[in-house]
Amino acid sequence: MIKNEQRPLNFEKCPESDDELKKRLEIEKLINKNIDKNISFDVLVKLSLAPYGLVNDDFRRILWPQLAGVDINHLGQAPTLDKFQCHPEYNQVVLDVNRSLKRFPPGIPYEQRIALQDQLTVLILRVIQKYPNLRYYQGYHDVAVTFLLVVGEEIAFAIMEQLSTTHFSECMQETMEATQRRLMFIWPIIKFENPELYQFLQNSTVGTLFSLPWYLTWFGHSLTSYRTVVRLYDYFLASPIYTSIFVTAAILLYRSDEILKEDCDMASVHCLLSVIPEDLPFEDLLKTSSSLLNKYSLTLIEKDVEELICQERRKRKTDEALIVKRRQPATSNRIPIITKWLPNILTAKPVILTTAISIVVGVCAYYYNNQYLAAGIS
Amino acid sequence: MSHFDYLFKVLVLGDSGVGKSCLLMRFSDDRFTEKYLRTMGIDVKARSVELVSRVMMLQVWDTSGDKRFNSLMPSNYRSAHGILLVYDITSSKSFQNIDGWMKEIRRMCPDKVTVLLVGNKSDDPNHRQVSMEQGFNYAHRGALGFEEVSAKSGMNVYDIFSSLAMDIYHRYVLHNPISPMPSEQEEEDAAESPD
Repeated sequence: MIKNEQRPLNFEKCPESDDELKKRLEIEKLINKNIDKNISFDVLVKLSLAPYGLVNDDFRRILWPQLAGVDINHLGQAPTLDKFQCHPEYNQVVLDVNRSLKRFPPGIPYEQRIALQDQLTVLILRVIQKYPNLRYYQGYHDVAVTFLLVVGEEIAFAIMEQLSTTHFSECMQETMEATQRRLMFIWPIIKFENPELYQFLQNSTVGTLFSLPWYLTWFGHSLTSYRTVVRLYDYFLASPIYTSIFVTAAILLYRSDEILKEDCDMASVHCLLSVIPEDLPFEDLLKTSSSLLNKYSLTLIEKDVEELICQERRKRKTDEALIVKRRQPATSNRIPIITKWLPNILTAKPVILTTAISIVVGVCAYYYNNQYLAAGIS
Repeated sequence: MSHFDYLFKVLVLGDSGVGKSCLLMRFSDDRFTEKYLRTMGIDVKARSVELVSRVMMLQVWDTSGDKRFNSLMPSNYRSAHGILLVYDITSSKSFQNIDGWMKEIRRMCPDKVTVLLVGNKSDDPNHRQVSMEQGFNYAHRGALGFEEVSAKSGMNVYDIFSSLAMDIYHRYVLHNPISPMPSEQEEEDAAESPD
């Protein structure tokens, strides 16, 4: 039941397979051919969704801005950090950035790491200062650091600005209610695909908290392999806004046997689910996710989600009513309590016991009374 | 899981960066890291404590300091037997925010819940911004338990968990009402969970 603290990102490069090499050459050719103009968006999407995604960071540096719909010819100059020190979120962002050191490549010089931290802080604060209606959330920096490492400060800001007003806008509202509602979309997919798993997860009352970091950070917070993180970012940039819901469902379905063997209680199931195994076949999972996405549109399962939310709301109201009921002063409950205890008091055992004691007391009183009379004391 | 007589659910609440996860790491694994840990959503750890010849399993739910995540976990609040409310003695802001956390607890938790106020980072007296007296007075006014601890040195960490367990044991096990309401009965069933 022990969940370890966040593990450092593994930046190791893997040997290139034949298929990967083929894809790398294909993208290289495409970039060289379209050196002056953007590659067609449909082609980019196809490349990003297909196995190996955009293959490496050199290609991502060029293609991610196009995927995100960012014009790299009109980028502003990044301000310095001291400009943001009065921002209400400054301290929290600095705290979180300090806690994201594990997301930086190991072995980089201290000065470079400090510079990266400052850039990350500025990048985040620039976005939330420009859009005061957007609220920073813990985990936002996991997304920002990935873009910062791949495309650099200026382009990362443009991409984060774009994503914050589209993909992550729900997560950046005043409350997390919209996010909570969105996470509920996992359940109908599981219910239709694997009713047994669905029933088990509902019985465990695990809820959707285990998947919150996945959704808020596009899995960036929860994965240990940098290679997998950027591969997923290829996929999400090329997909509809809420695709991470379908990837989550794909992971749960893939792990169903393992989940069903677990004790059916909230803590055990939460612990199992919240740690993503390192050996998951992500390319297969992304295929599953795409087919689920085609099969279940969000509008199709909306009704089921509403039903689940209503059930949850009813349960919450009942629970809260019980808490309020218990807080009422005892005086108002006196009569009901007596009526509740009366049947317990008037059962056979207490009645016999009381009668027996009464008889004993009566006999004793009679005996002593006679003694006193005989002695002439009475 | 090893044998235990009672299973108690404990929530750890408090502002971001006060050392909730470090406290928990010290209690469950008896280690400490200088690196910042960050919790998104909720983490669970468990460890048993033996008191009055009873083995009490503490299932400790470590929460994120981001208050906006609170709305995502009402069921965790409602089923908690005990709460560690943590502030950082080197941050007056984290102490001021205790009021907000207490409101949340009063709103979401059962009345029987045991709350222990914990001032962390007592190993750093040079940067102290909240005196022990302030912490004690606040706890006294709110009828809360109080202790200062250091996750770094380990000072008092085991003590706060065992004293919380003892308090929960007294409230939930020894002082059961004669005829509990059904909802309370459920709570006690959850609390008293023989292996």
